[in-house]
Amino acid sequence: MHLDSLSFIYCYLPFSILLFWAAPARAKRLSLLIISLLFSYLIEARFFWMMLGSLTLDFALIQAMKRSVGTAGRWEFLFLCALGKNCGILFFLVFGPFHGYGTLPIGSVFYTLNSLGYLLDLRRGEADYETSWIDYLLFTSFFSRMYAGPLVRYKEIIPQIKQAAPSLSGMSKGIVLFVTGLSKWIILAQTMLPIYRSLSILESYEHTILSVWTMMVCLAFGVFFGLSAYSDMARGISSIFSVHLPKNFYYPYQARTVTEFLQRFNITVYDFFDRNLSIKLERFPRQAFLAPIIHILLISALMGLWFGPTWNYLCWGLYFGVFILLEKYVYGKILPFIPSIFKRIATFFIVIFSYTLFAGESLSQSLFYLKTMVGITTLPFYNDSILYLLTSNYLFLILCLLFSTSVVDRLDEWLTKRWAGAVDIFKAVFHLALLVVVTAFMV
Amino acid sequence: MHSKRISALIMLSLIFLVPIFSFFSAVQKWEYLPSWEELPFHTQGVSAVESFFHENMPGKTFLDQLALNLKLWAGQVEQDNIFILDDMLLENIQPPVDAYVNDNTQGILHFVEQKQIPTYTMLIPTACAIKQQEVPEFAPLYNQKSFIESVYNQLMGRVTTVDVYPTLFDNSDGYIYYKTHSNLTGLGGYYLYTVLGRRVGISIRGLDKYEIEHVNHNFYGDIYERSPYKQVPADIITLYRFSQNRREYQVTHYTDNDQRTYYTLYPQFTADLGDPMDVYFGGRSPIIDIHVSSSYTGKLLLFGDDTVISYLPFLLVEYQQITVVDLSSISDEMLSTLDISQYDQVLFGYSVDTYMHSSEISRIEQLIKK
Repeated sequence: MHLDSLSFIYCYLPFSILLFWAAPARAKRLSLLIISLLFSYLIEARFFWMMLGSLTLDFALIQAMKRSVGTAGRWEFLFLCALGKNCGILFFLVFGPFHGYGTLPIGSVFYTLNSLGYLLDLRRGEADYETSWIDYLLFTSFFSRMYAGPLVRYKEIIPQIKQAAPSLSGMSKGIVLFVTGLSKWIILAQTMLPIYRSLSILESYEHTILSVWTMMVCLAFGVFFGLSAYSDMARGISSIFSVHLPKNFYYPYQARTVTEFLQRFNITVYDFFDRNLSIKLERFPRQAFLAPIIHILLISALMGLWFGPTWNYLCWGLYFGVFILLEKYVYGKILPFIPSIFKRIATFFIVIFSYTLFAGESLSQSLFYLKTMVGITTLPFYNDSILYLLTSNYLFLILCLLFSTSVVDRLDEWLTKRWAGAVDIFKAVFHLALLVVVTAFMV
Repeated sequence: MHSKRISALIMLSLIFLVPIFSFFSAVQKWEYLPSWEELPFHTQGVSAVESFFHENMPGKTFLDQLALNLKLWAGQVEQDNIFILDDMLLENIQPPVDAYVNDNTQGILHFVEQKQIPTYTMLIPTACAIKQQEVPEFAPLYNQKSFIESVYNQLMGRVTTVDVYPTLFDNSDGYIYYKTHSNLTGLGGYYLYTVLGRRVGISIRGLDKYEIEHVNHNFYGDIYERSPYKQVPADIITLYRFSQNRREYQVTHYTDNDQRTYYTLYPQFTADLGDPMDVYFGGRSPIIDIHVSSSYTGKLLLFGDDTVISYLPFLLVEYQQITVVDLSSISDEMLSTLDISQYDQVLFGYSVDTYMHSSEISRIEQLIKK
């Protein structure tokens, strides 16, 4: 059972909503915890106790830290224990599976990073000591966030968890958001990713210039709609249970600069690295001019490594880092004079080219893709296979292009200003139809 | 804002009502109460719940049609490796699994070396190869003709090969493949028989020597189950009966546990009980032994897949006994009871799809070890 399964939508979700609504006010959070833990158990029974043990140990260390406030040495020791434990787990979780040791349990990176982020917030004095084990588990490991985040901060989530109470407005917002996310995943991402996979397994000589372009565009849409879909589903489910999560994606492919792209793509992850890595670099005052450069390269590298510890992902991140530095120090001053549309198009192409690194299994393969895309190749421009693929999927590609921009949102705003009632009715019918269509695609 | 809430309430109602309707839909089908293991308390149970919703979703037929038509409208003429055309569904056969092909070919070669009996191999192309003029523009098709040629080259000199491709291709305008089913029609089977007959040395009867009976005008086959495109017309199941020198047939099905006998090639009541295609010989079994009362004395051992039912009625006219063995379902024990020495000829008759994507023919090695 996953968020995109019929058993979740038509069995677990209604069961959870009933439980949450039926629970007395004092037991709302407990009901949420039961819902969350049961889901975690059902999707990863093997690693359930590891998650519970890890978070409970963190909670115990935090309680000990609370009692040690004022005794700096002891507090620091406990902090380092918690930090080391989480970093160690993270290291093992990320590098283990890539070296053939076990598999990466779903959500493990997210609950570990939430816990780690909370520890760092505590150190900076930006969070209170959480005394409720239930609230702590809900904050770090609420089930809807286990797939693709978003990563959350203590101070923006805990107040909502503590006042969790069902509301029709939260539920209506949540259900619409969930159905939107589900549609993105089922209709768009699940069309784009198989096209990408079918092209990625081709031998070099079977490719054409058009097939490599198609492959990169499909990967770009697949990654965006896949991640943002899970993020929307997470936000939707949380909203149903009266917790409102931050956005994780905001139309990254219409960014005007690469800097803006990275800030719109995996927003909470970018914020997490940006917030927590800036601390250590503040300790180099003499090399102040180097600090922002290192900071940018470090964050962009980590944004790449977020997808896995490979050289290609690292280079994918650093590729953006280089463009951000160029924007900051080289051609940033001329950017305000360039019309937005050209900046958006240029950034989109820079991003599409970046996916040659994302798609390649090695740097040489990425170089092959890149050379093919720019025409440094003996391969033909197209063949029957790629024409067939494009004629079969052109409408989905157009839909992806359309929904990866804010055109629909803007149209919605414009129409709502004029015909609010009619637009509301249309949207109500549209979302209902969307749920039926998505169910049809899943059956 | 109100409409948003109304929309949410309707969607919530849908989410709550679907499991209730699914449950009642399932209850009507249940023959027993689900066991504890089937309840969603552990991973196995979760997958059971998922299957439950897939099978019992209210309006499943409508939803299947909706998804198919939306994808079709969006340009996806090929879905789940099936070309959805106006008047037929064509399965796009995928490239072969080399290991299976090699095992199957080696199996036949070992069989011939060990048993020293006249052996024939007939690889039957699927509809998408023969009806390739119907396939959408630019669609990449696996070259089944080359595949057949490469297998026949490996068998050359030791096995008599039967190349039915040109004959089927020449008659591709005829109703030789079902429109919704992955098999040849009786007419397609007749064309196979005309080529096969010449290779095995039997006389070829004209189609006018057969009485034709259409027993089902509303047949939708296995491809339709995967892509239920309403616009595609139903298939017709046609029976061919040899009209001269009336023959008596005794069709005996053998399974591990029992055997049953029919005294007709087309026991129509079996089709009424289940699969319409069971009208041919009463369905498939690990071994079907057919005795024919005629002046012919030839005995043929036929290893084959579902395509057998298309040409077998024609072949039977020329033999005293044909034993059809289904290597995909026969047990090792049953296979070991086969006595090859009582047969005059052996035929391996398989569709290209089976040969490329299943290693069932390699099970013949069990028989060689005997």
